[in-house]
Amino acid sequence: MNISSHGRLAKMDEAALARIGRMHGFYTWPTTTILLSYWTFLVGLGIAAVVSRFFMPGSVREVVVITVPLLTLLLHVGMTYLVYRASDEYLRQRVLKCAAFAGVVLAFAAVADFCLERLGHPYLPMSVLNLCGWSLFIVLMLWVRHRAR
Amino acid sequence: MINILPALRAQHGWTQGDLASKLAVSRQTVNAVETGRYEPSLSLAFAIAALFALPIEQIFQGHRSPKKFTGDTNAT
Repeated sequence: MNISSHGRLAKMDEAALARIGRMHGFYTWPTTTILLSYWTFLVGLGIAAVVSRFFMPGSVREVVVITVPLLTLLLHVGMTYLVYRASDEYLRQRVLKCAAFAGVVLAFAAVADFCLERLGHPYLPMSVLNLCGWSLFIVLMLWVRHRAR
Repeated sequence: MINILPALRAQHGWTQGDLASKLAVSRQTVNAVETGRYEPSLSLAFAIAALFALPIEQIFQGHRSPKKFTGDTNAT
């Protein structure tokens, strides 16, 4: 049965239906889980940055700055591991290749950062590099999961 | 390693998606196994063999040469 020929869907053009199909094709539960937990992690980092900038020094500020990013990172890594465990053997191998690739890129970036710093370029915190490396891994993993839908 | 998976699949009239759902893996995995880009694990190979009711060696051919094995079997 062609659903586009019935009810309100009949009024929708083919392009809109194709767009909806692409959305549902991308937002499967693994990609949604990874994206939401990554978003939570980024929000946690933002909260820590705002708190460290605007709050008065004290125990509350220290607790928030230390625990919020760590807990959200823990959640994110846990969700990523859950998606990894839910994948089949070929996808697991591809995810591990993504992790290895991101690790190699991160290592080279760290060496390049060190050399540039020695040459007088501005200091770039290692946490920023780590965040970029992790983001690269997440993008590659999302690509693998998206291809396997 | 070569395999006769595409022929077996065609014999049963299954698509890669059908076979993937019967084996509880992704379609990409079936594609990778069929094209030889990925060698399945023992458990997946057994599952494929059981699904087609054939011995594993009849589905997957082209073993690694025993000469390449470098383990010292005489070691005590």
